[in-house]
Amino acid sequence: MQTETITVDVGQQVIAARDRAERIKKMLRGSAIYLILAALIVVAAIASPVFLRARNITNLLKQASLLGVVSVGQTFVILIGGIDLSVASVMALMSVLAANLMGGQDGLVLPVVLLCLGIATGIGLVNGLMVTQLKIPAFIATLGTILIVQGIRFVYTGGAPKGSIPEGLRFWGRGDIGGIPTALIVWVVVIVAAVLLLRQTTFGRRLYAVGGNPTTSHLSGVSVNTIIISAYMICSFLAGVAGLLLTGYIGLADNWLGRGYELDSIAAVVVGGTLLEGGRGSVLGSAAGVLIMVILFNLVLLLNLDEETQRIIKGLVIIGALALYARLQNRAS
Amino acid sequence: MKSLTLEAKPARRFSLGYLDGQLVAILVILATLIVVSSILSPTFSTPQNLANVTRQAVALGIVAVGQTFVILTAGIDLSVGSTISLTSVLAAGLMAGVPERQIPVVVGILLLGGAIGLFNGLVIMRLRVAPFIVTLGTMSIIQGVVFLYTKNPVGKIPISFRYLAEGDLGPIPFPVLLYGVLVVVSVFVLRRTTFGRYIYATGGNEEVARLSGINTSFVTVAVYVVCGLSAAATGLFLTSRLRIGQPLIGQGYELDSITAVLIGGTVLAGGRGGVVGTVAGVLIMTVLSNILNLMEVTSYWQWVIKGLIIISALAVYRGNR
Repeated sequence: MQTETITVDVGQQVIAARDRAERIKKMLRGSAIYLILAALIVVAAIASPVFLRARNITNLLKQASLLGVVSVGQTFVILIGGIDLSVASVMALMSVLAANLMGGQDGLVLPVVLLCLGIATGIGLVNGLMVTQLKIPAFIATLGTILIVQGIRFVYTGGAPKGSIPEGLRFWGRGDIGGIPTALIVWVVVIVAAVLLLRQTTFGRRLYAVGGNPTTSHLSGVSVNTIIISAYMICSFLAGVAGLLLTGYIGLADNWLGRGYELDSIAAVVVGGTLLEGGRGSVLGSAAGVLIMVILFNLVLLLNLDEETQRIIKGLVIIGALALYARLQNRAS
Repeated sequence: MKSLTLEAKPARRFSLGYLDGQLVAILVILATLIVVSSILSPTFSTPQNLANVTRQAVALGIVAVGQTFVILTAGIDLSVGSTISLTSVLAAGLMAGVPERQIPVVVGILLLGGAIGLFNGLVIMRLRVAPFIVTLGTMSIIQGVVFLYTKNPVGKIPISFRYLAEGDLGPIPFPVLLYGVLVVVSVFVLRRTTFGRYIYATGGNEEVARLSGINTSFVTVAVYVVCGLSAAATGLFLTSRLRIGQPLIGQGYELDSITAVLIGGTVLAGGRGGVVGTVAGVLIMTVLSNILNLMEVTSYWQWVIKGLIIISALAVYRGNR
């Protein structure tokens, strides 16, 4: 009898200890990315005296905002277990459309921006329909979209984009309000809206549910297809916003604007702790992921390293983050 | 015993029937494309153009074989493009026109490709994370290394090394023969060996495969090694064809090889498909590019047409299921 009680006690203690350890690991997994970001900022400030100068920080945040807006959209798609490779193609489409249709006239900024964002959202709708109705894997559906949008873009411009960007749009890309870059303000607004949408609304909860287990969600009465299509529409819409901001930032039309943003945004989302399999992750994590990558790129320049080192660092950060998450995950379970 | 054979037979017939049905559909598409092409352009069926098409198909074809192995296990390898670039600049850079260096360099390059695959496989197996993101990481690292090595075309190949891409063995171009041997060996491995069965089993359901006693970790690592090797082989072939090392030569091969595999009927979710389908997928893509070029369709419209064909091919396959 006595031995039995002891075993039970020990067992309970072990379980309690394991619970505690699990909770700590869970917290670590949730906050690891922010701790790394904080550490990186300290290291960067020590490594280069220029890093913390207002001008460098402003530039860095402008760059981060552009990738950041795309990454918020990519987070939505990855949360439902999808992927969107077509974001860069959409960004470049925004660039050539805006330049051509605005033709440098400030009065046309608003209507053209609305038209562009409508087109971007429409592309997202097509992506979503291909994935849900035609049952094509997201990877290959959005790859097809890249080719088609790219072709249309070049047919439209004849290979050489025409038109020019009016001051009104340039302001959104590179201006500031009271010292704060406008692009950063847009990014913050997008983040706040996305966090509210994901945490406070039924839609947000359903989005996580669909990513976690589409079959269960369907059986629980969630319209899975609507959620998936919405995620792709949000992603393309935000790619459109980022494309317009980037066009304003560089100030001219570019048929290849945003090249690389598709993979960089996916990398930032995953580094930020969102699972590529869907169902788990957060927009704030993606924002931290974006900042980590942009700060590292910035350091490469400040330390006068070969610019191509950025690629190696990017790859190491991706694999390093995965290794870290895998470790925290294994210990927790 | 009798009931056992009765149960086994329909299952076997079903699986064969499935494979054949899918394969027949793909081969019909390819045949139609070839017939239509020869009607649309008289140049298409000239021996010179056909030799040209097959040589073009070999570069994509070799790496697509490796990609097929990976996708069959429900994986994906995005790093093949930068591996091709790396092997190309290293091969041309190290050979530097010296004939004696050919064999050691070729062996070294293939080992390097295998090592890259080994790294991918080990990381994926150990961390249990999505292959997409792991190979995205290695893709970035390798391309960075390539650019640190050189940003411009580099090196020189000895004249004898041109044989790999330009040689003929009787009436058959040497690279086509080489590709043929590779395909036959791969089909044999996938269909007739235990290792091949294990690949399909791992891709079909990794957990079930593991519980059935299959060393799925080994299978996972092995397919990435095969893929890395095939990327290195494509790198060597392209170096021979261009006679120089190009730091961006591999760009696009990652997506093209995946597309060829999927058009060939292999399922992205793993466990179903095969190399014969991939060969057809590669030929469909190459013949399509060729006929669009012969008809002087601008590259702009070629992109649109290719995008539509990829999407409709995949939509048709899904619809059939």
